[in-house]
Amino acid sequence: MQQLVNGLGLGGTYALLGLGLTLIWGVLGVLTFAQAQVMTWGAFGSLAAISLGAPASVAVLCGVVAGALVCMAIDSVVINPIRRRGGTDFSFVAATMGVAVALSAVLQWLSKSESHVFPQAGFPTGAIHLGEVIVPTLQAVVLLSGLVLGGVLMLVLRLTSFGRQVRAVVLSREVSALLGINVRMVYVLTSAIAGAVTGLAGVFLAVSNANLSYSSGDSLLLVAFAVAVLGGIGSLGGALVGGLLLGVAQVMAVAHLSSAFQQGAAYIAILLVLAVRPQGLFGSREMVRV
Amino acid sequence: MFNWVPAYQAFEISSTLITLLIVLSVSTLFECGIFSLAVGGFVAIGGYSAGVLTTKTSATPALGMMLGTVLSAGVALVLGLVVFRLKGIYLALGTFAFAQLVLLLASNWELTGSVNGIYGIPPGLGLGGLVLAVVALCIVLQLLRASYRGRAIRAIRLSERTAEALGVHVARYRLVLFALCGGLAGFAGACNAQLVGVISADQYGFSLLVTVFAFALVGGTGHWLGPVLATVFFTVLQQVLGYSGSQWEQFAYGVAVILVVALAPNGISESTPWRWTAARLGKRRPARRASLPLELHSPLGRDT
Repeated sequence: MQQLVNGLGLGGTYALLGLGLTLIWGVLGVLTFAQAQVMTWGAFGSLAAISLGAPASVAVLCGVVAGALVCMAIDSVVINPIRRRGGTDFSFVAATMGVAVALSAVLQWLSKSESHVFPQAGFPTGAIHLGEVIVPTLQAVVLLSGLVLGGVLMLVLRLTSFGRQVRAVVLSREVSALLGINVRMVYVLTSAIAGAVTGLAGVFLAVSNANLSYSSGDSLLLVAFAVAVLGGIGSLGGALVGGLLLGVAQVMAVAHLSSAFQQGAAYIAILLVLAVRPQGLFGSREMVRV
Repeated sequence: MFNWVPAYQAFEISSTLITLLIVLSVSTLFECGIFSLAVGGFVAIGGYSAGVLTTKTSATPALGMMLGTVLSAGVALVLGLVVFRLKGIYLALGTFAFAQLVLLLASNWELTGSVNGIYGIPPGLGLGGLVLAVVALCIVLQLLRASYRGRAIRAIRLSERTAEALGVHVARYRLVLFALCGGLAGFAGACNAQLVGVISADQYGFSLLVTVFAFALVGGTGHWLGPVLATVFFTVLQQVLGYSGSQWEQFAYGVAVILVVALAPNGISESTPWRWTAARLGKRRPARRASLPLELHSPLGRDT
């Protein structure tokens, strides 16, 4: 039971990561390899705010904004020019790999390759005791914010005018443009939302590790892929469930098998899902996005 | 035959040649429209099997090299059987997960020295042997290019369905080519392990992938000469500017990939200035390739 709670806590961060990736994949049609760097940049944004003396809530906001800005910059500077020149799926993969390496190099230079202590003061710490089970407060907050954000995003996509625009663009970019939807705006806003969610994940990760370096996010790229694939590409609900599932699976595997499975679980999940059910747990046969 | 080359230069040239082998294994797959991210895994398998065999047993370096090559090719064959059921972007994902899994295994298994890696690997091929290997590979690629099989491979990239309709056994071609290129990457990995003497899992990660992709994409798939020139150009540039090893090296490769994909999606060897120059120099025989439209040469393949 305790393991389950730990797993769900870990899964909250994963779900946030998966939400960001699956949004970009679903709406922009881009498999981005730069998402781990967006996350690390978000965490550094919030660290910068803290070192300037900002309170925790402002620091979280700074992290979210940093993530959103980086993601929007990637969309405008890299993805959009390539799209205009008629790039294929693979050109986006190659380009975002380049973006990832470049962003990582810049951050390494800015942070002087050092590992920084991430102060936890002001963030929810401690634990809630529910009978025999100990629930760390921070993890509970992460899980809750993941679920709430996922739910809000789903409602926004379903109920609002912006959501309908996004779904129309997913169905057909050309027809949406003809009907007067500002496709460029939809892409920019979607990138911003995805970046914000990813930045938030980065902040949470840094807080729970109490430590941050330029390569902190690198190992989570595969996790984000695994969550998105597990849930079905472009399915927000799938990303939530996939994230929680992966978190629990990882904690269980480490507890009962070997610590090597901490990362292995993600890779094995990807290969297994791709081999058995490529559309993911919740994706439809046709890979309809969002 | 290369005894007159000073030791440091010999080492640098050798490692460039090894990189060249890896780049050619990737660009040859591009030529067939296979966008695989597994190359790091195959290089690691080659390096580790050569390292383990020659340090744990009394086997000769040549034997280690052979094991590395054969094992990588075998693993590539099996992986190909699994991942070629996937299409497009999912193929990229599956191969990427495979490469990461290999590295994870290597850094957790006692036999492969877990996180410490393997050191004290006896040297294998010298500079002469590597030059020979690269020249032989280039000759094979040129022969392949001019042959029926080479045209079939390029046809698969242009349009799988058309190739199939024209009697090309697409699945078999892709699988065999994948295994061969896996073997080539494994051979390069073994050579690298024997050249440097020390290996660990982190050297086969994301940065290797991006470096190799930068060379292969800048080179383009018009001709095997493109990737060769790109690799040599980048290595010389890096020696001249002296940024080797710093984070700016990786930064430069990352930016190079972005620029190539955004500005010259077909690689330098297929870009307009190059074609113009080549046409002035009269080196091209346009008749043979006149039927292929320019944009179909993109190393990144076609979506349809």
